Amino acid sequence: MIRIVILFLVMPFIMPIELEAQKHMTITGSYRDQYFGNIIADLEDRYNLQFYYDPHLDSTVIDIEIPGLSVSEMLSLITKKTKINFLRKDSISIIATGRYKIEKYLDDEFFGIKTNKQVFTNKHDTVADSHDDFGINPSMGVERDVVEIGDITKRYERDVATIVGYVRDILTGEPIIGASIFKKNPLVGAITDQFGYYTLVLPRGRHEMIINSTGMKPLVKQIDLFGDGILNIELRSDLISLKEVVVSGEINSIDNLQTGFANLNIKNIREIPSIGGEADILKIALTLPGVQSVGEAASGFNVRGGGSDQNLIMLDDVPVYYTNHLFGFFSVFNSEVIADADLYKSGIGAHFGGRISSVFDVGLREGNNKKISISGGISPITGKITIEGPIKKNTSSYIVGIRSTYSDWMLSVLDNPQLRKSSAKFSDFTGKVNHKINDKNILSFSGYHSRDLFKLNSDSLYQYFNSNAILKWRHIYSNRLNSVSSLSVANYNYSLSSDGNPLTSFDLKYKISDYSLKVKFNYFPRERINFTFGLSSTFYSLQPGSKTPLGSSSLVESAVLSDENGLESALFVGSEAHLNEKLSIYTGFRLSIFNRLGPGNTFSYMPNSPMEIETVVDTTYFSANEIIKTYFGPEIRFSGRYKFRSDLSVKASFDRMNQYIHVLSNTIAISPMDSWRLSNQVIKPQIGNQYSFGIYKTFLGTSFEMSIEGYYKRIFNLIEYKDDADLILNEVLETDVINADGRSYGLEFLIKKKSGKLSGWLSYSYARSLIRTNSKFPDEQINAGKYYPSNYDKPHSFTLVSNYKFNRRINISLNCYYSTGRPATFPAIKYILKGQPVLYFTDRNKYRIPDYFRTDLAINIDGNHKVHKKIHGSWSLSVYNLTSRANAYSVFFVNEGEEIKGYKLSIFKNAIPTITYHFQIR
Amino acid sequence: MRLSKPYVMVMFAFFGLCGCIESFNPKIPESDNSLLVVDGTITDQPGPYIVTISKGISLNEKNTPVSGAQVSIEEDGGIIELLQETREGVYQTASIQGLAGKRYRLSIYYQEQNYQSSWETIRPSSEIDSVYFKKAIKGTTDINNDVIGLQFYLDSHGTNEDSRYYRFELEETWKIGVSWPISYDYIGNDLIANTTKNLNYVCWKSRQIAGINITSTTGLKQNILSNHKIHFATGLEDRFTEKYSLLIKQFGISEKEYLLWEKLNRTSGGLVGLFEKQPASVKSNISNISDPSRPVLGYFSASGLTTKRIYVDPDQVPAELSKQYKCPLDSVLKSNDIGAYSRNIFNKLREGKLFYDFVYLDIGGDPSGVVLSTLICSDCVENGGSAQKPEFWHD
Repeated sequence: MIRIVILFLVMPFIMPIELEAQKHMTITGSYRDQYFGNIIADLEDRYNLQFYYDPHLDSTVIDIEIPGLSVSEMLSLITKKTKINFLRKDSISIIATGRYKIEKYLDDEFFGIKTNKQVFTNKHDTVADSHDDFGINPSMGVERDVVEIGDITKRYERDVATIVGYVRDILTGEPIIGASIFKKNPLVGAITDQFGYYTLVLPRGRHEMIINSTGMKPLVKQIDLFGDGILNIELRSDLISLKEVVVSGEINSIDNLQTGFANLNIKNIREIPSIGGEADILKIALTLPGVQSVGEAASGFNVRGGGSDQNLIMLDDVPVYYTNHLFGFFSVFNSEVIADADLYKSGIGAHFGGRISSVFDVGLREGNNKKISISGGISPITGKITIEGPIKKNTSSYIVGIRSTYSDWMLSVLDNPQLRKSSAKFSDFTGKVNHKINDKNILSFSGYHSRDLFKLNSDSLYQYFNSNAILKWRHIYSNRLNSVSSLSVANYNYSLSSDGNPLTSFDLKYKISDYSLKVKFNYFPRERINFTFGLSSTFYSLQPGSKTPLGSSSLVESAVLSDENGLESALFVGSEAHLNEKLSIYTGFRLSIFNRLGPGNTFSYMPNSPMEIETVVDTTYFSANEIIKTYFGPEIRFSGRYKFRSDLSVKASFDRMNQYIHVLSNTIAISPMDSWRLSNQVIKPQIGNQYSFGIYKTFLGTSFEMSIEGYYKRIFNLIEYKDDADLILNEVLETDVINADGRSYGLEFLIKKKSGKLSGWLSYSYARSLIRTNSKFPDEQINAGKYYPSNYDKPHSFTLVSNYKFNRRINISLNCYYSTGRPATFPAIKYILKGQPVLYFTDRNKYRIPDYFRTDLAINIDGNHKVHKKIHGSWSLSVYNLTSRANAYSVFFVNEGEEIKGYKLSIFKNAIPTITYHFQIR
Repeated sequence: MRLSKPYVMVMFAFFGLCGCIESFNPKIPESDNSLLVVDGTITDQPGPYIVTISKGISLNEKNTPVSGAQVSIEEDGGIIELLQETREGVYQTASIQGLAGKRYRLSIYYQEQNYQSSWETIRPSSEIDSVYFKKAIKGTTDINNDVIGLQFYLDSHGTNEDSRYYRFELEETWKIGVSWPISYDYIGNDLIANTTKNLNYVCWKSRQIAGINITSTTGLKQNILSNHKIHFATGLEDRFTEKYSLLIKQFGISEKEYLLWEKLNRTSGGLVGLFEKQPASVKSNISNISDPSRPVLGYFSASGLTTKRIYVDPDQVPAELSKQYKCPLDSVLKSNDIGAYSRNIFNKLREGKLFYDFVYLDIGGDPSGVVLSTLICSDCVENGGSAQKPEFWHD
């Protein structure tokens, strides 16, 4: 009886055997840590042998030396090494029987009968039918709830099969982005994309799949993989059950290929204390090692010594040109409609490009496709509401989020008459509609609009706007090939109107638009290798500045800079190959091409002299869309991972990136009035080369994840500015900029605890970021052409982010931040000029402002968790700057009579408490 | 176009914060070598023109004057005049007269080093049409502390020949009186005599207004300044109690000099936020020819000059600004012990108090005591004024 059962299991993988006499054979071969499948393939290639085996065995790793043995000798050697038994059917046919040793007495007929019976039905879709249907005795050890995937009639085909599918929230139908689907031993897995879809190539056979995502209950599914098929998975939110995570592990830092990668999940972010009670994904990014900002409430961030314009910050794949609201206190991303964010500091895939420091990819949620749900939040500064629901149940859904400030009351109660007449507010709108046409086609459309307004003293009005939209189409050609195509538009513009004095009243405007087409294919030809390839093309259209008189009595002379156009295109291909159990390699190549297009004038300058208006010798005019200058940027990306053990791996990567569009800013932090400009014949593309490596280790199962990452980065054609540079309404930019080089290096330590009552991370980084100007002309040198620290060079920084869950309703977050003070330039000499005491400053960034330290605390209280309750509310009490430390925002010097006095300015001197209420109506 | 100050102020406002500016004194090592500081001017108005030379050493030490340098100003294609050192480090011209449209250059020879400025052309300064004022309230960085005062405005119109870059030097002068003019000296026993003290009851205070004051009309169709805020004078002191005068010197400067002042203003002007440019070293138009690597501080400016003086009478300003501040008086009242009363008065007089008047508690009766003033309340020279009537002053 037992024997029959065993054969029954082995049976499906045995094919009719070709007979061909083959006498004595001597086999040699040397296989170091090779997959069983590869060894067999090699043996079959070289010798007249035919193996039949369960694809389960494919991924068994074998280290074997065959010094010249007969077939039987070789087989016993493999058996000895691997516990895989073999059955020789005849001289050429060998059946691997796995753990079971089989006596050779069953005849061919036995197999024939069974296969011809066709008792199995074809299963193309997800089926959770039990094997009981097939009369299999449960005592055979077959687990219940096995999902069969693929066409069972094709089960004899050797090799592997591809599974595609999506992972969704069972309650809302929302796709879960970044969920991992994997099997262990050996680890093979995939991560869901922005549509919640994944593609996974596995050996045929029985697998135990683990599906995991932050904030969701992990799920274990048994699958029987017969052939290509679909496996859709629905996960349940882990909000209610805060028990210890049952299945630990996911595709973690040990296994994934990238160095310098972090995924931020919005579910965790809500628990982190924030200023004004506004959960902010950009501020959370600042807690990661290697991510810095020039100061509290500074706009943007700096990754590994790069400028803040060198981050490709995207919302649903559309770049966002200015990412902050309200003086940098809040980001433009409404946490209610965000699914997650990925930060790539290195190991950046070839499909990303255009910025040299990092990619920060913020994903939008999809609306609940089962029922309507309304949620909102109220804090002293902002209010927001999100509505989502199905358009057609399970097929299409929408989500709309609106956020606004009502902060003017804060200004209106002030004593200061200037500020009482001032006003500062913002609002933003995010919306997304998605529609599943059929299993192979999904469409989504999303849009974003934000407005910031700041009116000073009722006569100067600053405004800026972001407007983005994208249409995406995901198409599945086959289980092995799918594509995502998109058309998008992004727009940023600002304006400043000043009407304090009728004679000098003016309107100042700036605008950048980009129109982008992207097509990206994912191809999974076989197990452990996949390809990504495609192209993208972006047309930039800029109105780099116009100043026009405001009102009839204004004497302001119109100044309108000519439009700037450019086309940035790229072809990319990348492949991820898992060469064996230990070694995986990503290689990518991106060819980017930038055409600076007319209309516009280009100037040529006297050779061997600094570029100034006075040294212009010739002017050439280019008409609209004529190519002024073309740059090619071949970009190589490489990542490799070697996994010593299941809990220890090392990785290395190299990234080369090109950037053709730059923020011109000679202020310490970028402001909303800084403008993006395109490379031209003189302002070369910025180029970054980054070498990085990392060691990754997990402890106590996978409860603790530790990593040490190091990097060395060179940046070429960095843009620095002459001291007098006026960047607004500047027609001849190159006369005000200086070509510079950057060099940065650092080490980042991170310990992370993901599960359990206490979770969070602890990080320390040592990082340096230096800049050097390249000109031979003294007027174009900073610090005499020597390396000097950049504005965001903060050698030491330390972060603790922690969350403790007391029970399912109450949790506390405590965060601490420390960093070296940013560099600053201090005066050296005071002197009197025309009766005015003035200061002489020497080397740039030679000194530092005092070190920064801050502690934040938040207590989050959830309402009760009755399942059928209509309104689910939660409170969050947070205290920003708990220790009331007056951190220096800037340092400045003032002449007070005979003495120069130094002062530091702090934004926060006190602890700032905030209460936020958040609700959800289902 | 800079955002910083309003931004920073609104940020304060937002979080209801105050007192966030604290003293911070980093250790800044003294530079190894001192730098030459040259401050020279030539205008299209009659001289003498002054050039001062000193050495800058550190932040908190006063610059030391440089004596014994050979200083000359040269007109392009014209004369070279050697300046005379009139005071330590102060050099003065005798006869040279700057002319609009001409170029001038400053040369210095000191300690075997040659220093020279670039050629600077004098461009005429535009005509000042009028200067006028309005009452205004001004906020300070302390959001709870607004000040009241007069906002002065300037209108000027210039031709296209005139410079479009302006620098202003302002000088304010105001007449002050005293709270308690003294008529008598106290002799004792309630007896008084006409005072023999020579006190000043009318004085003038004069002050150079600190701060870099520049503007430009580039970007405008015409070279016109209108409603240009030139100065805000607070009423906190005794400015508007008698009569006030503001002298405006308007220099038509070069673009290069304008940019220099703009930069100096940025880096020496206080409050620096993140939306500010980095402070940077300022390049002079004077260089060390013998050793170009050694920077020179200061500037030799050639500019047109126009001036305008206005007067403000007390009846032209709101009462709250012209209100006289009265010093408190000390008093000694009679007690039964007349001897102690007398001793008390004389003790106070010896301390420097001044007899002002008797106090009468009963009408028509004997004095019940005396009230005493102090020198500062009765002599305006003591209060920082000068008894010398300025030459220009007319009441």
